[in-house]
Amino acid sequence: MQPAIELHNVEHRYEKSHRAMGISHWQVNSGERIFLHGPSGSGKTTLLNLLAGILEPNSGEIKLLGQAFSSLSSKKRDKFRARHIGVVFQQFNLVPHLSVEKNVSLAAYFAGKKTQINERLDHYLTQLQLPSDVAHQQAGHLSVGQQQRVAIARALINKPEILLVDEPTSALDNDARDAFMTMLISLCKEDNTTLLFVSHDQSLAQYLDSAVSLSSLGKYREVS
Amino acid sequence: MLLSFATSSLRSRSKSVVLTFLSLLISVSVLLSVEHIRIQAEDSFKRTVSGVDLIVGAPSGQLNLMLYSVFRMGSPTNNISYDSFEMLQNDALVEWAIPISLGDSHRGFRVMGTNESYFAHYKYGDKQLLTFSDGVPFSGVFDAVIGADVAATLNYKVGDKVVIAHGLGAVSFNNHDASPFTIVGILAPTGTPVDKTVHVSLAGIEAMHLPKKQLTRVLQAPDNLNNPLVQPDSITAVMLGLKSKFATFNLQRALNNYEDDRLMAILPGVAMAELWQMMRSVENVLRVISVLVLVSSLFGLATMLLASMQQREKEIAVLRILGASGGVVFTLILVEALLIALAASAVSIGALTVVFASLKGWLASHYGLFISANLMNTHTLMITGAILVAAIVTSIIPAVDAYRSAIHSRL
Repeated sequence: MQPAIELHNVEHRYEKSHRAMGISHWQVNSGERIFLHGPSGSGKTTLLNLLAGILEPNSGEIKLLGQAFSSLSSKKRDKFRARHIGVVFQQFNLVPHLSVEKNVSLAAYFAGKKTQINERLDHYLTQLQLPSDVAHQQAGHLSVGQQQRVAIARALINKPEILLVDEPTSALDNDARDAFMTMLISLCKEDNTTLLFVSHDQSLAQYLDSAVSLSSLGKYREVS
Repeated sequence: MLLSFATSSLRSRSKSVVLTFLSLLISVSVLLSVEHIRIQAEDSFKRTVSGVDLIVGAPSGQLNLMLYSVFRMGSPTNNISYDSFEMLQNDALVEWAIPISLGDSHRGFRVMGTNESYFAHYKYGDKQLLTFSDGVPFSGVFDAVIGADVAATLNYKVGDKVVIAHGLGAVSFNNHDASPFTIVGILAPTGTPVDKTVHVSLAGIEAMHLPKKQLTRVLQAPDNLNNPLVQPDSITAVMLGLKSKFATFNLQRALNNYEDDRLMAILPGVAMAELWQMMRSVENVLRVISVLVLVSSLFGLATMLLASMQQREKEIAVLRILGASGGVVFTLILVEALLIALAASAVSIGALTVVFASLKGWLASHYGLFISANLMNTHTLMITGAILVAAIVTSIIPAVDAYRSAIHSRL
């Protein structure tokens, strides 16, 4: 089976920072659902940003779906991200002045997948137990729980092969959190999506195939 | 999708967008109205006289001749003989000739001596003949026809008596009290100097300057325009309409070389253009002021967009995450600027159309400005195009700012 995610000798350092994060080798197989955990400041979000192409490594190679993702031009990386990667943020990051439908359609628009959007949106709204009239409501007017589910619908609308999820349950109570995890895993299974789930809450590891500690992957070194 | 996003984004920042829109609306309106009035005023100015092929007077300068014969401004330097007028009237190339005799006034309004040809042939605007709002053309020596402004300002009506003064001042101590004129007609407004003119016959001009004894004899037969006592010896100028336009230059050359009298023939169109050229500096000052107003508003637009970038960093970062390239974000900011400028231009054109349509009559009657309410012409479209391009150019700074904004620190 071809790995969905491969990292080789990847090193990243923020500008003006004296610490560089390095990962010598790591791979995630296609369809795998990984729980990535680590304490605050350990570099979880940095790793997700590297995988989403939001950050570029200073050295090394990131391959996604067999493609040398980190070597792509900025424009091609944007396109690749739109078509193959879904991202769910801790703050959900919906565009508050747009309707749910428009928020989701934007993701499809940038991926160049403009057909059957409404059908897919209806499907995800149903799967995520959101009433259908939510589609026409402004994202800024939704409850936190609803925003979170819309963020998942937006991340999945293009049927991405890789889904990166960053601490999405931090604002939820236990019942809501469990319901959310069940829905998320079910949707990923439906499309055999590779899931990289980042959280500091290790109790969530039970929903995923395996758990990886960031400290076992990456090492920080001081640089001058 | 981009357009829909831009519209929605602008709506979400409605307060600052509305203020920027109003600022642009005002500056675009100033620029468009100045340009429209300038063009229309030039057009209106050039329509003061229409259908006249040549104006003939004593040699002075073409602007001077044009100013006193058409605009009733300044003083004639010299007269031409009445024989020259008759020669012109009888020339085979000439279809009609209008004599003009100036030098007197009535309460600040110029008095012009002429004949019946004036009412039959003088045209203004789009070759419109003079029409009467009341009364008829003069037929007697002491009849007068007044322009619309004279009637309105002095509250005159048909049947009233007017006394003409010697000279051109508003106040004169040398009135022709012994030869009062009776108003027999009031002309409809034209928006030209005709409105500010008191028209009398050439015979009337001669009569009021006669010694008392001879004047008394003329007053005994006031309807006799052919009375030898009131036949003019000289007049100020002549307006000519030719049978063929092709003969204009030949006749002009011939008249300028005429040996029996010192004549100068000018082409009204050329003199008008030269006269208007002198006003170009005023035009340019107005234009520069309106462009500066526009530039300041465009900088306001750029500032508003730049200021909004801070509020929108997250929104832009989300777009980038969803796959929008830097170019798309750059274009989005330009589209927003374009939408505001387009809306301001469209509303401005609409509002100015309504304003000009409402003030059309007032501008014509009070200022002699015939301003069309139709702003949809090539010139307006070119200015609007330039405004939109300028809006795009000034929005490049915030657009580059958005393009360069780092995603990772905003999410």
